[in-house]
Amino acid sequence: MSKKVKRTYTDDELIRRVTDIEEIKKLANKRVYYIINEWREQELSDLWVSDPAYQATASFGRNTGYYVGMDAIRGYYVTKHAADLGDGVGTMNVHPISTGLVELAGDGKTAKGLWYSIGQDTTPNGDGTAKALWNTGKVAIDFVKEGDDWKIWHIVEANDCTAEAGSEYSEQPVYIDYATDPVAVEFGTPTIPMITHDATFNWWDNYPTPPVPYDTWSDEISYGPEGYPEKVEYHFGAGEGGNY
Amino acid sequence: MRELTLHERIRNADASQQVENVKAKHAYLHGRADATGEWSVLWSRSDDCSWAHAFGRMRGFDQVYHGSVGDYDMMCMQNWLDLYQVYPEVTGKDPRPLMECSVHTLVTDVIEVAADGQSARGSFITPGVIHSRLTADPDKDGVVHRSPKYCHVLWERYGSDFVCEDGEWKYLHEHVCPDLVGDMDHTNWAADEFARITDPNPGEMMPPTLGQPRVTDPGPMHMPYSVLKPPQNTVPWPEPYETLDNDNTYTPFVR
Repeated sequence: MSKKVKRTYTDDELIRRVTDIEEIKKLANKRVYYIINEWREQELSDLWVSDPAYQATASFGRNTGYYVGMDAIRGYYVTKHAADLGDGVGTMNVHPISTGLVELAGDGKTAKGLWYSIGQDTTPNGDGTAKALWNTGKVAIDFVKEGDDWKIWHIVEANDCTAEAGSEYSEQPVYIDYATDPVAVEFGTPTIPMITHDATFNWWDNYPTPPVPYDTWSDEISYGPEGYPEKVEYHFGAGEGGNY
Repeated sequence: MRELTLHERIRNADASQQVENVKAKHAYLHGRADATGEWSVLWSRSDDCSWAHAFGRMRGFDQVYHGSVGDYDMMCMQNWLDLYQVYPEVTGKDPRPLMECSVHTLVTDVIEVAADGQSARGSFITPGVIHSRLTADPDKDGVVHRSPKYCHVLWERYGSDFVCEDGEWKYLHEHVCPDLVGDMDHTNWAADEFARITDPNPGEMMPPTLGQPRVTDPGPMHMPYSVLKPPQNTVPWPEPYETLDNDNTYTPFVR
């Protein structure tokens, strides 16, 4: 992993970094409004990477895997969603983010951020009724600077709790059935299907991991699949000091 | 307060962001019940450290460490022993995050960095959630059984002081003020509290935090909402200030 190198900055460099972090926070916040307004196609074109090299490695992850590359992301995030949505009447998806933790690379070229969302997804059932869900979870984002603008490169939305509004959460099954779990069903079949975050065990798997200070980018710190930490093995695979 | 130079303003703008990150790191470490991690990297080791909740205020790093790490880990381990009876898949897993996922989300912050650049103060609101899927409890005969999973809401306010030590920002004081706690989907804190206090045999208020560590300054310091109480402004937002002192702190210093 890229180790933090303690740099010192001139006043000009430091105010540039302060401004960059504020721009990154605004970018993450704007994405929330794009989601509310169902501007998913515009989100990908306005907020995400445009450089072909970054587009090839862009990724969108949830608990059940990653879509990799902008074409695959668009296929899920825009095309599949539009087919599921119909005319959009009765839709309201709001994922406000809080608890921001942004680490700007020492070289100022990339950044990583983590937020927590207590949000809701309300989707039409197609018969005049709609399903209203509470959803909570982490939102982890890698950013890269293209020219003068910050862009989204990788996202992981790691769901913790899903509950139908007005229902007794505690009466729902403890174990997650990925065949019927609304978040897993909505995510479809990703490019890389895998369990990235098993909410059965709370945050035991610590994914996505909070960002730490770093000097320059390396794939092993990515929120894309290339940066997924080796799964903590238990039982016979734990190794010395494992699981702690 | 004196006018800051441009250099000092830039320094303090950076410091404000660093303090936001310290506070957020606390939230993510606490969500995994990683108290050892939190207190090993985020906190000053000063005798002036303090951590306060409804139960009172712990003072000095040693007392805070034992109350917030030792006592907390003990609850996690006891919980794991119960879980193991009914959920054998917890075998080999770190007991701490299995206790619960306590996510004190952070919003509405007001942060002031001292003119001398050596400290910062912040007030925050946390409309958080606390959830856990695998839960177990012993019955009155001591037999452990599976309990329902839960998702609570917990709203609190924070008053937090930070200090800059060798260029790194560290926690010095934390004052947690619980306002409401209950099940996510059906708690009515006003109706519940009215029903409790008008019951001929009123039960205990739902505890606003886990445990009752040893404290130096006894509580109660800030109690959850009650139909009998006016609003409590226990941790008012910080005003611009020159240096951390008894006029600008969430914990008065003892000399």
